[in-house]
Amino acid sequence: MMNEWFMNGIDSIDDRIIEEAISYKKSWKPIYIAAGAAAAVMLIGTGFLLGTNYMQQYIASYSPPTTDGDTARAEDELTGAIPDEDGLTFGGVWDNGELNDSPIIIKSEPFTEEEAEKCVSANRSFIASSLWSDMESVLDRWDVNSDDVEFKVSTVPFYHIKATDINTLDGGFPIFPVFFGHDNTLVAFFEPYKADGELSMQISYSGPRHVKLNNVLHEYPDSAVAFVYCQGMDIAVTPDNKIYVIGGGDAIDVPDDIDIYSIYAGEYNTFCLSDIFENEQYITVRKEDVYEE
Amino acid sequence: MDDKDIVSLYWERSETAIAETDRKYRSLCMRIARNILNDNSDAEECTNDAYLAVWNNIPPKRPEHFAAFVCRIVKNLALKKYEHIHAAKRNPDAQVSFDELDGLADNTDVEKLCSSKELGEKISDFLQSERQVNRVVFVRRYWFFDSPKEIADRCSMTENAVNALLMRMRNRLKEYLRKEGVYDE
Repeated sequence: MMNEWFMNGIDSIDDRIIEEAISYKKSWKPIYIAAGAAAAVMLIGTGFLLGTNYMQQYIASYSPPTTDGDTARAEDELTGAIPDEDGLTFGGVWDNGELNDSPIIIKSEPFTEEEAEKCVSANRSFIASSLWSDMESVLDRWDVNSDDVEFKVSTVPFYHIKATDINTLDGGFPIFPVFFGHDNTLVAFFEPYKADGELSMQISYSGPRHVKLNNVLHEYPDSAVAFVYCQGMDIAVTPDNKIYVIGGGDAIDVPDDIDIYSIYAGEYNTFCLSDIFENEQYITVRKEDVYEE
Repeated sequence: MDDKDIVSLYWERSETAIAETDRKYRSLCMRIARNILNDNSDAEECTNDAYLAVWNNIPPKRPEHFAAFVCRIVKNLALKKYEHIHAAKRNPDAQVSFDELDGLADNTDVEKLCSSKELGEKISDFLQSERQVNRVVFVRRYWFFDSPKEIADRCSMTENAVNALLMRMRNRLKEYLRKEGVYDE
């Protein structure tokens, strides 16, 4: 009866709302077409660059995947120093136990305390791409009570996480707590997935996305970058309230300001990603602030 | 052809009214019926029955929202047919839509229920307070029974984003209805 009562209520909603849903179709925008054209031009340009010394050096320095699987490939893309569009290299590697010049230090194995200290003392953010094989191990490692529906990690002083409902992750919820460095610079974000019935995470960077991320970091190397991750919608928000679309999926998946607002409106109270999100200024999204490539 | 012109054709008792309705809304009607019945031939039969019902209802009616009017008729016919179809033939997506919404009103004292019409008005008010894309996603899922994948394609979202959005909207709707005194838990 409840079902019937409620479904009848749904059936009785306003005709205008129904007609709106009939006619609604989000269309491709000129910006997407322009972005597609730009991407095509870049691809052609890359072809020319293949013969240059710069690309040869890059290819020589790139570590090819050593294991199968998307996660392994993503990790290898991360640990390979991918040049941005200006040819500058960001997102570097832990190089034989020493820091390189990258603002984010990435390592395929967990960092030791000593290594972490080294990163922090050099004011670098760091991430071990295989550090978090599953949620429980993350919580255990950082001494977090998994029964606590709201938690903020400070046991490792360089990170903090805030998630209010871990259970929703188990339902394939696309938003995942974002990892920040001690200076609020984005460290990484992960995507939950199920493996053998167990909740796990995999790193969600891809090469092009990483290049985009590099661009943001390049432009704001000393600023806090807040980050929202939603599958197909990766957005960086800078302190001056600009929105950067990081990438993900096809061009049609690139969100506009409405999408961003929806994400904020939906997530703000439930998935506050960092202290900086608790400042109202980050909730205001103006169309002119949306970064357009 | 404009909807008002189609309605005028019905009032003139011109048989081209049905042809125009079919041309403009056949795919939509088929989709609604198929989402409920999960069968092409049943959906086709339902759509044709709906055209006849529209013919019989206009006149005397002159619907302001013709598309919604046609959709309602198709949906009602499909739901009637649905009741008579073996459970195994039900469209799992539509069934899941029912199940998702069922959680909204669990444990409610049935004696406190308002009428469906009142509930529809409350839900409409709630939806009007939401952003357009949220509204569309919700209605496409729970009125049209579109699958999350279809909605994702329509709204340029990922399927997971659609599911997440629906989950949050259900929670907000539940809270809204509780505040409005529609039901207590």
